[in-house]
Parts: sequence; C-alpha cells; structure tokens
Amino acid sequence: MNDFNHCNKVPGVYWLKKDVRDLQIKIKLKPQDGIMSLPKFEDCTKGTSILKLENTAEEISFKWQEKLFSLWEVQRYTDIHNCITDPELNYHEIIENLEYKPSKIFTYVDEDCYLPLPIDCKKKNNGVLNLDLYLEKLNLNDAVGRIFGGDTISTTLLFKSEENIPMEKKEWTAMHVVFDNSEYTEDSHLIYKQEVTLLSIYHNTTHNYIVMMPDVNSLELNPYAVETAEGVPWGYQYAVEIEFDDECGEELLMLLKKLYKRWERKQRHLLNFVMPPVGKKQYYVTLEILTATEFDMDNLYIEFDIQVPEDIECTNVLHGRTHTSEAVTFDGTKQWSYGHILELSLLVNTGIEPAPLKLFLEAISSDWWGRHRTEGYSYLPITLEPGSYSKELPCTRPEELDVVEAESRRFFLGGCHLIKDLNVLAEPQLRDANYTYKSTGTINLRWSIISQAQVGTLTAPPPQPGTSTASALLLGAEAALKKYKKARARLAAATKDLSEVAYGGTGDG
Amino acid sequence: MAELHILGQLHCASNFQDKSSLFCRYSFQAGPNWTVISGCPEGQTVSGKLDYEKTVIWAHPLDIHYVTKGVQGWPKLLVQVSCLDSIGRSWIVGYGCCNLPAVPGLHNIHVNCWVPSSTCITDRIRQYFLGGSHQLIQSDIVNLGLNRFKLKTQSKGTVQLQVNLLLRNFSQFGVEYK
Repeated sequence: MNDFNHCNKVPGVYWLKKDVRDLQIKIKLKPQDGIMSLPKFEDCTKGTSILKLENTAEEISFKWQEKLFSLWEVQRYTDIHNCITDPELNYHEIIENLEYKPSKIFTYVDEDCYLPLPIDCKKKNNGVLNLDLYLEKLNLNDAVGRIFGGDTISTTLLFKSEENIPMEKKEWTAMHVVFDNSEYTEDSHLIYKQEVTLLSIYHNTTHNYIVMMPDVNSLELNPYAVETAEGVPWGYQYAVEIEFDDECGEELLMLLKKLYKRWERKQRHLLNFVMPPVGKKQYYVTLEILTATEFDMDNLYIEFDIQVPEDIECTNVLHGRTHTSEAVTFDGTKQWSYGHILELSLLVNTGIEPAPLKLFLEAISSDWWGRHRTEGYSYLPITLEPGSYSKELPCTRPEELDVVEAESRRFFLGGCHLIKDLNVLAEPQLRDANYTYKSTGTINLRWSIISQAQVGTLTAPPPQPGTSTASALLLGAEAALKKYKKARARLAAATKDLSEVAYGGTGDG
Repeated sequence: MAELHILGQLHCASNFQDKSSLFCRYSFQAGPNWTVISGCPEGQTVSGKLDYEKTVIWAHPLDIHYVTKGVQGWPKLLVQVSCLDSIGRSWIVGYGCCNLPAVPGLHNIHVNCWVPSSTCITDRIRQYFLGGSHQLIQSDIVNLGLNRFKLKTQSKGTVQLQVNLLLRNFSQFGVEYK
C-alpha cells in the first residue's frame, strides 16, 4: 500500500571555468545498515565532539577520465591475449606496471565506449546509411542503453570504420562510475557479472559544461541507494562530491563573504525600525493650514505661533507665516488658499500625560500700500491624541469700544499684532475690558497625530512578510534566544582556547 | 518593516477659473525612511475640459505600496495643475500639497491650490490676453513648511483626492495612529 517509487536522484549541470581535467570527483560509499557507535567517556573529557558517528564510509577519489579497474577487468586485462584494441593494451600495461588493486567501485571512461552519451548527442539522420536508426528499430542496442534513453556507442562503432572514428569530433565525452557486485570464485574468477552505474558524467566539449546524473548530494542528509535499474537495493548507500580545481575559489569565497556581510549590514539598516529613545514617547504632528474664508481684505497671510509645554521636547520651527494669498470667490464667498504644512516631532517622557499644544493663528492682510492689518486671531489647543482631525476656527480681533474711532484708526493707520501676549486667547479671563472682540472670518485646519513608544525592553526585529501576528509576539523571545546562542558560541570558543593551552602546551617552562 | 498601501484616485479639479483643459502632475513625497516597492509615485492625469459645474473629472487611479522603517516623513501628495489651451500651449495654474492622513480607511481630501500671482500690471495684462503664468523655480517650497509670506499668490480651485489607506505592522513597532 505504501509502496511508491522513491527516487531522489536528480541530474545536475555545471559550467566549467577551467579544463575538465581539473575536475576532482569523490564517491563515498557505506553499507546501508551501518553501526552507530556511541562516544566513549574519554572522548567527551578530551573536549572533542560529543557525538561522533563511526566513519565507515569508503571514499574514492579520482579525476576526469581516470580509469579504475574492477576485479574482472583486472583479470581480463592481465592476460594480453584478451587485449586487442589500443586502449585495452594500454590497460594491460597499467595493470602490469602498477600491480593494481581492484575495488568495488570502478570507472568506465570514454575510450571504453561502453555506456551511452546524452540524448542530444544523438544525431538523427534519415539517410539510408544510418545504421544507428536501424539498430534501434531492430532492438539491437544493449539494455543499459535503453535505460538511459540513448544508443550505445559500442554497437554503433562496430559498424563504423576504425579509421573514421577519431576523425569525427565528438561533442560529448562520458565517464561512468560503476559499482561492482559480481560474484567471483575464490581464485577471483568471475562467476557472473553484476554491476550498476553510480554516477554518469557527460562533458560537452563544445560549450565546456558537464551533466551529472545524479547530482552532488550529502551522505548524511540525502544518500543515494545503490540499486539496480529495477529498484532492487544492494545494501549500500553512496554520495557524490565534485571539486573544481579553481585557484581563485578562495578569493571568490572571501569576496562572497564580504558581499554577504555588507548586504546583511545594509539589510539590518533597512530592517531596523526607527524607535524613540528608551523611556520616551514620540509624537509626530502634521498640521495643515488649508484656507481662510470670509475676511475683509483681498490679500491675506496667516502667522502661526505654537507654544509647546515645558515637559515636551521639540526642535522644530514653531513660528512662521504662510504665503500671501489673493482671494478667489466661490458662490459669493471669498476664500484664500494656503496648503501650508507644518511638521512637529515631539518627545515626551513615558508615564506623563502631556499638556496640549497651544496654536495661535493671526490672519493679517496687506494692502497695495504695503500696510499690514490684523484681521483676526484664533486659538486652538491641540491635544496629543493620535488620529486625524480637521476644524474650522473662527477668528476675532480686538476693537476699540468707539466704532468710529476704531474704523478710522484701522482704515488710515492699519496696524498688526494688536495683542502682545497671545496667551489672552487661551485664557479669556486675562482680557482687557476696554476692548470688544469682533468676529471676522474663519481659518480651516487639518492635522494628524501619530504616537510611537518602545515595545518592551528588547527592540523586536521586524516580522518577515507572511508571518502572523502570533509569531510576531514571539519575536522578542527569539531575539533573546539568539543573544543566548551567540553568548554560548563565544563561551565555547573561549573554552576551546583554554583546552588547547591545557592539553596542547609544549611545556617550555 | 511597516507598510502603507495607498489605493484610490485623483478624482477631479473644481473651481479653477481657467476655461482651457486642465491636467495634473502629481508626486508623492516621503521621507528617507520610506521606500516605494510597487506602484508609481509620480504621474500625470489626462487633460480634461470643464463641465457645466466647472469641474474636470480625471479619475486617475493611484496604487502605491510603501514600506517604511520609521514614521518620520509620512507621505505627502504634491499636485501641479496645468491648463492646456486650444493651440497646445500649457502653463501651470495651481500648486497644491496635502499630507496623507495617518488613519486607515477611506479619505476624501480637498487640496487647495494656488499659483504665484503677477506682481505688476503689465504681467496681468499679458497673462489676461496671451496666457501664461508665473512658476516656482523650486517647487519644494510647496511641501516645506518654511516661512514664505513674501510670496504673493493667487488662490485657485481645489483638487479632490479619494484614497483608501491600508496600514500594516505599524502597531508592532509601538505606533498609534487612531
């Protein structure tokens, strides 16, 4: 019921910077049911790794097109009568000279012409002389070739002239690493041959890249099983490693590390949210003086003055004037447009309820003689409650009790800043009884308030996109855990140095 | 990082005195903490003629996604309304600026516009008969709250902005906006 085709072997493609001969291939082989050995007490006391698995993996390393022989190959090529072709004679010499010791893992190189090349090297030719096509139709290619979906070179070459073979420039060269599971007699004679391909590497000579089947893997995390084409396991696991003999590899690694560090620094800079200082709460106030309406004169500007309570720190400009605007009439109502934006950044100690800001506005007109007259005053207390607000502020101006005198003075002399201390607008009880206040027009305002305070004691890192709010709550704990891990690593490094001093000292003193 | 989505439209312009077609160039300005990750923060609407209510409908869609690492420099919208006359000339007839609210939800914002006024009678006559207007050399003055009372301006109409604001992750950084 649970039987399914488990295949973790996937192909890999690698572009080569240098010659393929610099390639170093490693195969690690181990029995599938290896014994795990627990550490001894002495191992732990010496400060080595706590849990060490018995390293039973056999490691075989070879280069591109390096021939490794199996036992039956050694038997075969030892006898010179079995060697006919040049490669076979060459193998005979190698075995004779080196006293070669056969292993379970051996290789077929390109000269062996044993196993197939990739499909795309197969050149379809519909000509009458294409023997390859007919061989395929007649099912004459060997079984291994059909597994890989290609034709064997061995049979193809049988029908080709020996002289023509080296003349053709081959696009692909192949190398196969094979596991030998053949049965032998006691005197090393082959009873029956049984082998399976562990790794096939194809090199494209035109574009200088290699195709590996299967790709590089880890023996611990993702081992490949040694099994037949039908999926029958042979009780071994293996891993493939490949090393490009790249001289500038270390430099590249260093460069990548530096780049990664720089990127990380930049990301950290980007990801750190700007927070107010510890123990402070920050308020951001954006105030817009939008319009003024229903005033008398044509040209009007507004002077603003913001008074900040003593317990609030503010570094922004708190006094200024808008541009002078000429009125436009909509539906019989005069309107002056400003759109003047003020931004305040306020810092308050946490635990203190800040007093409201005092905003004083003075609408001032200017005539063509250059005289300035106060048209009206207005006052607004801005409580630091987060939100967006808008308000129409009515304006008034002080006027003498005698209307004729007041109008005459205003018409002929003008004059602005009629009130020296603007606090009388905030505290009406301070008003002088010898004046009346005349309503003049309105000023439209809009303002937004945002507050920001520290969240907890740790500055929580920002959540990644897609994280839920619940996980965001745990970020503080994660930050603490990270700090703990860092401290632990530092402690481990320090203890390592101490152990080296203790055990590895030369005893000069 | 906290995020702000601005979805909506630059709806219309109304009460501009000019009889020519009107179009608007807009630009969202934000502080250095803010980064646009999708959408175009600058653009230009189509040019439209005034209807019987002296209104030009643009219905220009807005869809901007900001990420931010600080609330300083909350985005603002700068608009620059220009007219296009029958012989293809165009000049600016209104500058305006508004701060985007910090409260999520639908907002209907009126941006009041103004334009530098002509300072002498000859300029007025020339503008009346030939068209044209004074322009700001540095348009930064529109969105900076600097002292600018020496600048004499003529009030113009309003640009209407309809936006939906979506805020994300702000509360995780201790930000209160409502």
